Amino acid sequence: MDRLNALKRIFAAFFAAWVVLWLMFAGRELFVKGAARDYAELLPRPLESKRAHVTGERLYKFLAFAREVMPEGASYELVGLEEGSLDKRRAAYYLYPRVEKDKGDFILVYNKDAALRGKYDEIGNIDASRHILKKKDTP
Amino acid sequence: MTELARLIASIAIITVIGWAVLSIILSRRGGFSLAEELAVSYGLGLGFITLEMLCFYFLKLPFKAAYILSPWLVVIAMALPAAKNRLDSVLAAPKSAKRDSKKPGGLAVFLLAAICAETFYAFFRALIKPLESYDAIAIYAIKAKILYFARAFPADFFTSTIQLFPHPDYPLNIPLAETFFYNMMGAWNDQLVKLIFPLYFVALIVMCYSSIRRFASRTHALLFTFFLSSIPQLTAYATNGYLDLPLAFYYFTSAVCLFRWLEDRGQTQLLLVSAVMAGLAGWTKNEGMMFCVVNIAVLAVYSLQVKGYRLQGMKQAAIYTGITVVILAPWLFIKKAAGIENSEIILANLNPANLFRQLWKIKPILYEFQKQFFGPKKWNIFWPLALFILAAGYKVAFKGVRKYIALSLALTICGYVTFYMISKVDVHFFLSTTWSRFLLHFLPVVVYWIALVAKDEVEI
Repeated sequence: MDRLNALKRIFAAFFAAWVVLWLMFAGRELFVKGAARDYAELLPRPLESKRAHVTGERLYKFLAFAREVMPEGASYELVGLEEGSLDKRRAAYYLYPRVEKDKGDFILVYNKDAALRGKYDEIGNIDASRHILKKKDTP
Repeated sequence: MTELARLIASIAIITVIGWAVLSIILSRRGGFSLAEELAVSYGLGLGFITLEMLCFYFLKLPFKAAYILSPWLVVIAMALPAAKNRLDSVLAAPKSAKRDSKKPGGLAVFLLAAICAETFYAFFRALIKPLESYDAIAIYAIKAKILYFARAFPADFFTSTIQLFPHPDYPLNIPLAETFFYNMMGAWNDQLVKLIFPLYFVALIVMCYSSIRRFASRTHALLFTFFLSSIPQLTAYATNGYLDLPLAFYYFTSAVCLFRWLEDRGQTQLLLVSAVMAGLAGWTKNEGMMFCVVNIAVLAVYSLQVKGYRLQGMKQAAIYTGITVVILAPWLFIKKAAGIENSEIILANLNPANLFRQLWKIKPILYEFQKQFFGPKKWNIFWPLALFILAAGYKVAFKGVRKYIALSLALTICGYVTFYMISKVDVHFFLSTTWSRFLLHFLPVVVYWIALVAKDEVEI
């Protein structure tokens, strides 16, 4: 009986510690790590604006611009984002059905003041470090 | 708003289809509460719809709602008599259950409120933003988007398109589920489609509560369900578009049905449900195939241990294997035909000589294990609590069906350790990016095990 009571007391202590940590971590996530602020920002936004928020407004604006400029099915090369990075994956995701390919029809230059290559013309830019180039013979 | 209404209608359709399949498996025998039936039906319906969509690749059919849904009308019609019969008995059951008539105490009310709060928060977190986490978009959502825009499997999907993105060998259950919902909504809405994930969370919670409730009091079941539902790592994965929680649901349902069958071999229908859910686990994530093997191994060990049951037991293990193979066959065939291989695990490395050479990996593996064990940010104090319960109840922890649960978990951990040993990925990187997710796959089974042990030992 003593053993059972001792076990129950230890179990109760575990439970109490669990609840305290549970509340603490919930509070930490919401208020220290800024989830509550993030939710407040996201809540009133329409879907497209939420996508921009989670991707980063600067990158998303460039991707939206690229979607306007490149026709569906076009191929592109993306310069300026680290290979395998989350941003690069997001770019591939949002730009589809345009597909990334070496020496594609378009070159998307992000955060780089790239020199124009001989076979490409600049067809648009958002600012000095975000431009889109197009292969000269692409219709 | 229209998209949301269409999505909810699609989820209802999925659940009805799952319920029809479940009804055919269960026949008139039952074995689940109504809540469990709904939870199983959701996962079952989604798994079968996506398997059907995969078969459209062979048939060269487009993903039109009429094509996808019409064959299920036959299944629903076939299931109706058995379903009605069981529904009547399920609805009648709670009225006669004496133990449910007791008013819940303060602790039970608190636990229920906490579980509801976690569930509500999971839905909120999932739906507040579109898919955005790494694997969710890089591996799964991109495939869903390609298939949605193509409205069918492009002819070169497996041989070319899919190879442009990471992990072409990952099964398509959830990507195809996302495609299905985009189709039904009539829009590429990667925010609403995330509803898939908290629904798996709810299904898992329902299965956990109901399974524990079968052998313990309401408060006991609520307590362990609360532990499960408030683990930060689990709630995070209920919302981020990864496949670890759906896999945990399929594996848990499959394992619990197997354990229940081990206690009562008369309930053959539970073994069938277990086999189907194990197959769907393999159809959800590659790791799910390991769980098929684990369940088959447990079944085989059990058969060998029970006197006079060997032959029949082995026959049942063979049928179990057959069911999982049939479910996985279309996907395995496509992978083989398209030459799609896993980029992380090389099965040819699975030999004693190589395993011996890789023994040095045990040290970083153990280091990562202890890191998770003492990691309250992800697990609260779950692992120390589990250790305490098992230590306190060591006399009963390996008795009866519990020893098969222990065997199942031991095989799972051995399986994952073997993955790390034969993987070609840098083990430190692989461990840090996967082990905390792998733990999720069998976490609910650990909860079930310690709930069983605690019921006998601590008597909450």
